[in-house]
Amino acid sequence: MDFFQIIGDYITKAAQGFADSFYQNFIEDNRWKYLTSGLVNTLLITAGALVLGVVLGFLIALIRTTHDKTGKLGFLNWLAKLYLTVIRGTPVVVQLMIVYFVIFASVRINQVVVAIIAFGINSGAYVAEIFRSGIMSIDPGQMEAGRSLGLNYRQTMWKIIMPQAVKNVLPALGNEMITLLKETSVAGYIAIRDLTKGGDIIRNRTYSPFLPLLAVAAIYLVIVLILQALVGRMERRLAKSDRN
Amino acid sequence: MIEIKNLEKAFGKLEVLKGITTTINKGDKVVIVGPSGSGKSTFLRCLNLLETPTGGEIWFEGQQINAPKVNVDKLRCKMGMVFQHFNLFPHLTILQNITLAPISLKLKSKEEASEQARQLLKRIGLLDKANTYPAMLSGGQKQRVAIVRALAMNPDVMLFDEPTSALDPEMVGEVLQLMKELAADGMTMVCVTHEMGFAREVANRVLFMDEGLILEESDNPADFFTNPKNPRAQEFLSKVL
Amino acid sequence: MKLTKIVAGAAALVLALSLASCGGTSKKIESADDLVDAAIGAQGGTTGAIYIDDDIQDGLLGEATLQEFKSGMEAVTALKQGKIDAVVIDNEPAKVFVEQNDGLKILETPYIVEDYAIAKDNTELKDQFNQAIAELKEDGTLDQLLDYYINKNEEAQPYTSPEGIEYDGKLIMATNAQFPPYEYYENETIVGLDVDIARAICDKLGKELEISDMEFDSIITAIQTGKADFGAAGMTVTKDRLENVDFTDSYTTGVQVIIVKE
Repeated sequence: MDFFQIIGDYITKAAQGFADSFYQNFIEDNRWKYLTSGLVNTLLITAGALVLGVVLGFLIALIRTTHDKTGKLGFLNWLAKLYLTVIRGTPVVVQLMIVYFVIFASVRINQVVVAIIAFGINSGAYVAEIFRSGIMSIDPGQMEAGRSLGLNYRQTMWKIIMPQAVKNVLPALGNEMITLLKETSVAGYIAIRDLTKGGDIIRNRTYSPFLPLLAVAAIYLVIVLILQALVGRMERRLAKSDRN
Repeated sequence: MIEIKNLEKAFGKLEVLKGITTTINKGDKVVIVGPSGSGKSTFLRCLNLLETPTGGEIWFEGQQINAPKVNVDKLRCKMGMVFQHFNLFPHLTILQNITLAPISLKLKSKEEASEQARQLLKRIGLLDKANTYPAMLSGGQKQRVAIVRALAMNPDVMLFDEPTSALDPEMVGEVLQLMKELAADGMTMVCVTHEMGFAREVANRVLFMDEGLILEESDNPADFFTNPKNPRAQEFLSKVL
Repeated sequence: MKLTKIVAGAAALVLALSLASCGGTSKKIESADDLVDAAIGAQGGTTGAIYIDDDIQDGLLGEATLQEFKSGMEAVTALKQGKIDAVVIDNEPAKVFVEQNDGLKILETPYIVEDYAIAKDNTELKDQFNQAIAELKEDGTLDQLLDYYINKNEEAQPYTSPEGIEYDGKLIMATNAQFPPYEYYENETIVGLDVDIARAICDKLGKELEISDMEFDSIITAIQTGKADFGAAGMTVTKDRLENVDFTDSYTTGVQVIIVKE
């Protein structure tokens, strides 16, 4: 047997092994469906949590900056600070289980809704700080100019500060979305079949860690790359309108 | 029109204004000069309550304005303000910069406000820039837009806070020219500036401030600039003239 | 202040959302047949989960859903909170859970009967293990341990290593210590039937036993990748598992039962 034949045999065997493993992990019993249905849940949770997080974060940021600028809303500001401290000081998976097993104790509730609430509340804390830094980054002269024209605080905030702040923080929000997507991988802790759990289930059936884990990682990576491309495009478009 | 009685302002322990008393009459062109840190900008910003006075009284058109329950926003509609750094709104077009306040405050319809803005832009020769954004304008153009933005509210008095200090020298002239035109129209103006030539030519009153006090007040600017009485005013003028 | 209203509104919205989504009602389950259309919980990776999942895929359980939790305890918690209708789990841990939680019961008909064995990935070791298991069956040690852990016989004793035993190296056992009475924490050490059997086997082989506690669904992977020498976790021999690791001879029988609310 010559050298090339040995190599050839080896490659054939390896390819056969890979094909077998691929069949076992993804084709047999339609196991790929664990990944696709898991992906749907992952995207659903991410999108829902992002919406909730943006709404929540926006309100918190408004409370915090209004307090910083005018000294009003003392109690709400205290609440907001408490929320930020607790949420940012504890792991998201613990928060998720608290929402599921403690807050919604004795309630039959769709876990995906639980996850959207838990991840939304979590994300809201980070979004709040993104918005706040966005608002604070606007030159105080903008507020003064608005107020000196006779606009009140709220009009100035809505028509002058916010449009600029939101534009500034859009890329950071995009990155928060990417972080959020990856963080939802712990949704399996409350028995949700998300993408990660989908891979776990395949692993539990086939006992081969290699392909399911790599497939899950690859899917996350592809989605993150797509999101990153979108964020990058958004950044370039914003930069362009600045130059005009 | 504006009466200031023993006005005081402190930032924490730092006393910036230590008792200012003066009167600004309708049609006055008041120029405030003085070394930096003398409190002249703070004084100006107290007039439309961008800074809240910590003592004394300010009366505007028969109403005490640094009292509780005063509608600050209504008051500010009658006092235009021009800033050192223009503070145009970068996300709005030039036209929108001018029409934002009149439309938001429902003083004018959108059409009326736009028409007025065009008139104002035409007057300063920037009508062709109506639909561009502030980033496209030079410093002098920005400041002239900022002035007409304030004018669009039809104010009774215009406050200028060092309007030419952030400009390149070659652009100072166009802004001063517009201010001179305003003065000629009879606008009441209060102006903090380092442009002594402008002060001499346009002002009918000069206030010299240092360390939070008015040290010299003159109804004859030409006389003040050539023959100041206060020793610190003498020293200051000898440095800047 | 307007902002207060907005915040209150947002809070109300979240509340409404959560209330709207808890419309599901518990299903009364009295036998395995009632699992059709039910929300069924199990520990991820256990045979209970695998059997239910297979039955769902084969259309035997109608619209039933399977929810795989990280531990049997969490599945039981969800059952108690009314989040699911039933939990399918091994009989012995089921007894412990029902004993510790009021308002739960085990259905009389088992879901499935199966054999427990120790998983390994080494033929030579497997033979040594099988021989040791045979000896333990022979000398009554195994019966004694079953008496102690399963039958709760008060005269029975747990296993203790012979005094003065000297070890030559160690063997790492992968397990998931949330599975009483097979393996669970007591006084911060992992104890249980599997642990005692494993220790007895290791003593016979002259190896020191080291226990590595991990998620149940990582055990077989840990053995395959050499992170553990063997796994003992009330594990059933299945066709899929056999493709990936070897199993020793069975040392006891397991039964998958259904826990429901009373």
